[in-house]
Amino acid sequence: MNYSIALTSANSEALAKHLLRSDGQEDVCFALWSPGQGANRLTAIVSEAILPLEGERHVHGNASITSGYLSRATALAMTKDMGLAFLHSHPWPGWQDMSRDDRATELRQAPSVLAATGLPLVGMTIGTDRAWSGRVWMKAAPRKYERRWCETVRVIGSNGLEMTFHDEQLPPPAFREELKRTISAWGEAAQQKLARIRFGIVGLGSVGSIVAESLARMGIEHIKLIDYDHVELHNLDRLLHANVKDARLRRRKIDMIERALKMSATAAQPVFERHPLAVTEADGFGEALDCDILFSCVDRPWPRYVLNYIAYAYLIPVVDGGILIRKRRDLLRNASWKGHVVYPGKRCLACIGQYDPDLVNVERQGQLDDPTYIENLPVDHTLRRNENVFPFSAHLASSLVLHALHLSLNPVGIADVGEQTYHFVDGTLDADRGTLCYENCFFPSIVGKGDLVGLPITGTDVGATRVRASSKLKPHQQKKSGGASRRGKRS
Amino acid sequence: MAIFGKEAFAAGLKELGYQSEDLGENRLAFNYTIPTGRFDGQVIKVGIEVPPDFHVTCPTGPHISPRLIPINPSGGPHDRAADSGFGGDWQYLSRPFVDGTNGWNRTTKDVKAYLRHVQRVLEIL
Repeated sequence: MNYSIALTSANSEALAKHLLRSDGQEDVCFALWSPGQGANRLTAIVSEAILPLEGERHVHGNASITSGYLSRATALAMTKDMGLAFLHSHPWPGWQDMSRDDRATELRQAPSVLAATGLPLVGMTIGTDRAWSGRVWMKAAPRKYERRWCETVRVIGSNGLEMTFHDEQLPPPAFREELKRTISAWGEAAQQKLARIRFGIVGLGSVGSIVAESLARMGIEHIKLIDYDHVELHNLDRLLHANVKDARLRRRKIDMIERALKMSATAAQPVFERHPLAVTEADGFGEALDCDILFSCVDRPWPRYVLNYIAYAYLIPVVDGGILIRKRRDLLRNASWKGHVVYPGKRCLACIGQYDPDLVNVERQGQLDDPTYIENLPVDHTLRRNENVFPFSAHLASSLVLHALHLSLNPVGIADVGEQTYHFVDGTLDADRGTLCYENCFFPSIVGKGDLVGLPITGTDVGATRVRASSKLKPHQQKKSGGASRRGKRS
Repeated sequence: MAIFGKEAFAAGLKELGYQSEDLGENRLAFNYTIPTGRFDGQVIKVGIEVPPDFHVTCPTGPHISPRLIPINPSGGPHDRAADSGFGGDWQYLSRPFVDGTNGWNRTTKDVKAYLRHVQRVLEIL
């Protein structure tokens, strides 16, 4: 199991304001946290600060607390069904290790906090550059507690995605010669940050395949590929690296993409995880929670709804986009594509209009996989629109990757370029900045609550189940989907 | 922790004065008097497949018993009706939620908002 911590920039600032004293001394406080349990990573999502009242802590170069403060903070955590984090500051920058006193303090607190809240104590330290380090105190045996360092602490908000890395758990990568030009664009520190971010791509179709290629070429070390679907003949005009043989063998998209990424990757030791899952399923959802940034390259309402939920409840920014083509009398009338990132403080995917909540349950019931249902939709209904062209996907994929770069690198202090819409026919780009969610929107109410929300959002994905079942059949046992049976080799 | 799904829907119906019947799984039914339209005044049963995350998402169209219109799965927006998993004397009216010009996300996302949709569906049958 890996460990990480996440918090919003607003909470990080509030905590920093208390802990980073103008007199340079250390200070302490508590905070509450909610768990975000992924497939392989537990994230402590830190929220509300519990600042000390008069007499609850003493500052004397470093700082100490009273038992009353611990009791009060623990009681508050129990009331809210949350975990407790103990935070202190150090008067120097960077990832912070622990002194013997630091370890002793947290080790003393760990048993009572676990007994009272049911959740392990989380310890955090902030440096003068506002870089956080963190650890989780796990019970290893009766009366024995062990420190598990967090690999990362991520802060999401007005400065984009700020991350601190534990260099021993997640070492800064060695760079290959192939990355020379990339590194010269933004510097080694930026590359070390980018390379260590865990990216997840949900949907490896025309847009997702190009996003994956971009990340691999940029030297990203860890990319998670989540898609249950396989290559078909009608994908070949848009799906990067796919060929006729892949379609004939009904190769899974994640396998086809991984094969290609291994050739394209410039990272020293790249890891490409393949998950033939839907993010709408519990297992796929868990895999998504292991990521630091998610690309939403899906075209259905339910997975977008799930990803939207992840962005707000679990503080994992989601980069999303979509293409819309309109024709009139079989002539291209308009083609536009949108790209945006969603996270707390920004308008969510539902309020942007990227999915229709009414159709989420239509999909859950399997009706979107029922040809009769689709046929009876109006001709211009979004669910019947499947026109697309490779350069449109390429342009959108590039835009999405650029959004992720803005978020991660915050170039010249610009972490957010807004919701962008590119219009092909006249070559214009619209950008909408600062629009917030509608008044009754659900998602701002769940920011940072993680597993505590308890929303039963995943389930049996009829489409994914059907595709995986058909993949188990030999190609000759599967229903033929039409198209040319013989054609020349494609490269 | 907030409640969702069938429990939340049943609680919402109760608040509005409806007695709901638990049909198992995610299904509820309740008696409903159609207030206007062709079937004005008729008391029917309305069945709902409640999504587990109601109120964040809304149910799909209502199921009704007895059948009021002919089964016509390929029909238009006002006369489409399909067989229902609720049973032989039920029919399913597949109707995307709309409240004026708003989708579910822009409503109060409660049972009252959903029942306004049910009323509209039934009054224009």
